[in-house]
Amino acid sequence: MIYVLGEPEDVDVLWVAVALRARGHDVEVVLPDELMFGSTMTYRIDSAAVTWTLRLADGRVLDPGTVDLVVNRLSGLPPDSGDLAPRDALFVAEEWRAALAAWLRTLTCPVLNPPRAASLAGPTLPEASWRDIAHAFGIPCAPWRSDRSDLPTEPVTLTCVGDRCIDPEAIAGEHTRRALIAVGAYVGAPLLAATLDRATTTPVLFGVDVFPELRTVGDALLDALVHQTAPGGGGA
Amino acid sequence: MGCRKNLTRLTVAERQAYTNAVNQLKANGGYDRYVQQHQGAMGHGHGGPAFFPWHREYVRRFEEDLQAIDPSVSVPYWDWTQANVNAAGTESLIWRDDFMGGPGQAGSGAVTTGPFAGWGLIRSGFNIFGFPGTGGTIATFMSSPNYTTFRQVESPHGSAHVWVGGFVGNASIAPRDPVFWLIHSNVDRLWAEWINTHSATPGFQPYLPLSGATSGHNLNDTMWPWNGTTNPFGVLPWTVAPESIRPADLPDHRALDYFYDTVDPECRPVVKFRFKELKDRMPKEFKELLPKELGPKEFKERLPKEVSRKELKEQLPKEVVGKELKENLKEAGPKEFKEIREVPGRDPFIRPDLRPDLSGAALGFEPDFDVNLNPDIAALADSLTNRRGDLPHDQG
Repeated sequence: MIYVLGEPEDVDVLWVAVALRARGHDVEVVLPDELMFGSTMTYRIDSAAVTWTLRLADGRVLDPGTVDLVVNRLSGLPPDSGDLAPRDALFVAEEWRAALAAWLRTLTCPVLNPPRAASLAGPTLPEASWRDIAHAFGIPCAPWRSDRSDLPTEPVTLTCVGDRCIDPEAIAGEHTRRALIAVGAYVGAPLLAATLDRATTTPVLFGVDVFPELRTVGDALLDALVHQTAPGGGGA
Repeated sequence: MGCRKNLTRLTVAERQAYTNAVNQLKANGGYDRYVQQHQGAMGHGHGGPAFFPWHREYVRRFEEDLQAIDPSVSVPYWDWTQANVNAAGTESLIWRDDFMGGPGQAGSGAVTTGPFAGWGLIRSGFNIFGFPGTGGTIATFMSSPNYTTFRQVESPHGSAHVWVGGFVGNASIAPRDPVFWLIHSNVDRLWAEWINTHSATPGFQPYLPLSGATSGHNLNDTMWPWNGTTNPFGVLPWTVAPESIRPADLPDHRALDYFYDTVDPECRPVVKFRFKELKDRMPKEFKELLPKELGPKEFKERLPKEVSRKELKEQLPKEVVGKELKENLKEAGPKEFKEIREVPGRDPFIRPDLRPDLSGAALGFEPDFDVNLNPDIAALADSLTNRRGDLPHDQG
């Protein structure tokens, strides 16, 4: 079963679910509201293994045996509409964020992308940091300045999913594609989109997005997602 | 130059002018461009520090487009922490047929009344005399001079969206319902008020962070769509002619040439008292001195000579004497009572014939999904939205 976590307003969530179902895959969309409200989680740690069960309010049950891939499009959590004092509401929100982040991090199946402490959506790095990391991996990068934001003249987006890098217009060399995959593994974001400018002689990287647009990538992205579910596949 | 007022203070003419301008913007296609922009703004103007500046610029441009149609129009705000009703509590000042229309029909949620009845809007069928509340939560966040704490106001603002429901309750397409602009005019006002309150605090920063956040959220980052970038999609004309719009450019709303009636002197409501009301509030011993058909001139002429200005001022009930009136009394005499002034909070402008009629028969309505979504995706979206709505959203 492939689980897609996200909001109904996220068209990429909807597209991934519908498109994968059209290919015959079992896909469930789980809303952040369904994770938080009316759900029950059992988490057991013993000397032999870690087991968990997440029962949603509508009766659906998630457990390690049923989850093959999680596409994590959680960017935030819904507020509690109960009669909580503001400080209590903040505390509840933070506890939920921590609980869901911990749960996602313990999944043994591929998670695209695993959450970080500060963000359920994965690493949220500033533009300068992305370029610095990419440069360290040998990817040509546009210079970064703090006093202005230059824009790519002819932007092209490469999307990496685990050990695959989708370059729709074949503008990046093998080295750059492999390096982007390595960047994703390094920062813990196996699903990312890199924006390069092909107007330069050698395409240079401008930015990286760990919450990329999925539907514009099309079938190649679906192939890459399915590849993640294969035994030993993906590298995510 | 525009004065953004509490919607409860709009006159009939102002409500009509505003709704007419919005409808004209809808008719010329300009309105739907804003809906499209908001669909792409989930990562840019939501869930991050840029929530306030992004929406400030977004609403400002919308308002400019309205003013290109009618220069007298400004976007009023909906203070959803209070009941927006008339003094008697018998009429909603927002959910009415000459303004935002009704709450949506039971069952379908179709909005069939008001100036936007032909837009195919859906709302959650709320109680028109109710309101989302969240005032306490907002006050807590606004009490902190730290922007990172203050911007948690985004959460209770979300509650206002959810309370209206329908399109407004769906972040991606919320601007499809004109109530969106009233909500975000209030959000913007809260930022202005917060800055106004804390600007004298040593080390105060009207926006954070300076750096270290996701692109588009740092103080000097340019923001989508105006910077012409194409993630998630490009928007003309900025993909051709990008503009540098940064959070750093936006903290001072006055520099953007608009004002709020709770923040800016240019826009504050004038305290007015009708002479009759002033007379009614006078102590009995003074009332007895007044002729029955008292006009301002007669009042002045008939005051006992021994009543000095100082004595008169001291005898007036405190709630009657506003600051301006007090200051005027220092310099002049009872002639100030000649000024006709309106008491704030009263609403003399609602005519009985404008009472909202929400009893009309439902018109057949089909939701108008985004034409770019295929039917399966649209159906899934609908199903998920319904599932979410069925969940009890509290931990109790």
